[in-house]
Amino acid sequence: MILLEKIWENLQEKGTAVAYSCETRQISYQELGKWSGRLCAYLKRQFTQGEPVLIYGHKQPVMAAAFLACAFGGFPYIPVDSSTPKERVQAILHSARPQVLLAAEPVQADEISIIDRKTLEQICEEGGEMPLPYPARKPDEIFYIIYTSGSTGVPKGVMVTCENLDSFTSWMMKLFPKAPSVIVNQASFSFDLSVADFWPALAWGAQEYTLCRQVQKDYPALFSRLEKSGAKMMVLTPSFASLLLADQSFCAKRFPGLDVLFFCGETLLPKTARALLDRFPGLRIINAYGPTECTVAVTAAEIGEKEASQSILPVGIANPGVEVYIENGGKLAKEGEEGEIILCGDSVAAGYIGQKSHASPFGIKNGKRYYRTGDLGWIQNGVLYCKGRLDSQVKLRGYRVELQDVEQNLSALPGVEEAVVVSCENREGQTTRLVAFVQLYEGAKPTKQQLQALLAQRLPVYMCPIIRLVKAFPLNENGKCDRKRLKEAANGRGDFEADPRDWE
Amino acid sequence: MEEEILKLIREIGNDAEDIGPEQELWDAGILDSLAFISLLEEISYRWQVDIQPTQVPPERWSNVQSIAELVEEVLAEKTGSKK
Repeated sequence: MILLEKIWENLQEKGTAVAYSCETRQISYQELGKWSGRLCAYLKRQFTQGEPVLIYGHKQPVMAAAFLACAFGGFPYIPVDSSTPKERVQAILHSARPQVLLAAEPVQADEISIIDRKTLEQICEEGGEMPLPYPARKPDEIFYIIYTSGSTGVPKGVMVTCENLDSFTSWMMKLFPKAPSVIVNQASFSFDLSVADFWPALAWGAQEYTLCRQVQKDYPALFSRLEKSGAKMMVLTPSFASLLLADQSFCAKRFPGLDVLFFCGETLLPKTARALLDRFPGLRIINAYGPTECTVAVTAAEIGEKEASQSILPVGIANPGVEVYIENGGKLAKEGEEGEIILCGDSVAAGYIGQKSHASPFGIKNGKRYYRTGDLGWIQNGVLYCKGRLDSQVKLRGYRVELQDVEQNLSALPGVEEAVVVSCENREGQTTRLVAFVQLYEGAKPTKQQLQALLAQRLPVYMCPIIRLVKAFPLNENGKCDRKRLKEAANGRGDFEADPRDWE
Repeated sequence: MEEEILKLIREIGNDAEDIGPEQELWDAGILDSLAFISLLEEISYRWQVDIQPTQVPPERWSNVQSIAELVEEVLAEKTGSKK
């Protein structure tokens, strides 16, 4: 595997250069090599290669060592951030059936052997030299499994192979021929946006510089940590850029080294790009696009002054290993015609874990894997544009949420007869929040607050909607729930009224 | 000022119809990063003051009362510096 060969060389050669940095600690390439080598040897002694390992925590250095140990040892890994609620962790355990859980933080999980932080650190830091084996992985072996929101209410595990990741990272290397020395990580490891910084950083021999969630909520701390980083490149969501731009000191004067921003995960708005170019003259902005099912990103566009003045930003040109098609009404769309984006080639993942193939968005055509994204887009002069979804998936602050996932989890709560979830958008069309309309069984007593508390045990906080109780749902002409009217009500328009209990 | 900030948060916060001046705004999800940006924009538009969030300890954004005091301070500083 090209990626791991590069990293293997860096671990031998980079010595005391910092490989990974978090608020409390930074570790060098030498240390990272030692840690992951010992952990890899331990895993190989105790567990079965090819069977998944769950890695739980929040950006601790031992997580980085665990990713490498799994990658070199031939264990597919499942990264799960510690902000994930217990029941969601349990759903992931049930779906992927990992053989062990490496916990960089305390975790509640049933029926699985857990190696806690203290033990992990002991394995990493003590004992003799156990260098990582030279990477020998086959292209179709599973490299990682990342879970995303699924419309059935159960998260779906996307199985990304060694070939998939090699395709993505090799393309990243080509996009940035001059390797940046410090790369800032925003996303948690539960999200594949983090793959766009973690693995390329190590392949470049650069420093992966993480921002933990506490720091991201504290402006003075966030800016001072960013300042200390000497960051050259950031991998981030557009929402996070807006947050940084809210302070005037996010500019070239305070962050003179910053010269590349790599965006993925949600729509980048022209006004955000323009604001960034104003604050950082000459900044290179990359707007990338791709679903988790096709390994982080498959197309990318450079956004300069010219592009930023357009009403919609392109997402660009595909990784050479990937073909992009637009399908409309079962036929290939013409130049400029809108339709569903279909991706085909090296980056298309092996599918969802444990899911039967029928009704799957994955398929094989002319010997190549393809994936129906459910995203709407068009191609103009060879450049892809993307706008919105065919279904009820939304992007909320960069997080991907299936509205049906939230509905299913709400409907499973005691006393709930039916739940309909709609999204609210601001003037720019960005989703700002979710609103759930909930109909209770007659005589059922749960309050809004109780429902909210119960839901928070099942879903990550970004998926939890505002709850409105309703006596009955408004119906459309076909006798179905009128989602449009609910959406108007959620946005403070229209005439539909919630249950008076809701306002007490 | 407190009344005005309360009204503002009720408009832009998440599920904030019945909040009070001393209620914690972040843990309950009433304010999140997106709502916070709207809050800054509204404050800047209504009172013609630009508050730089890096200049403010995060706990000052924790409830309506504290935000109102902050805006008043910034306003007083602004008129003070004009004199």
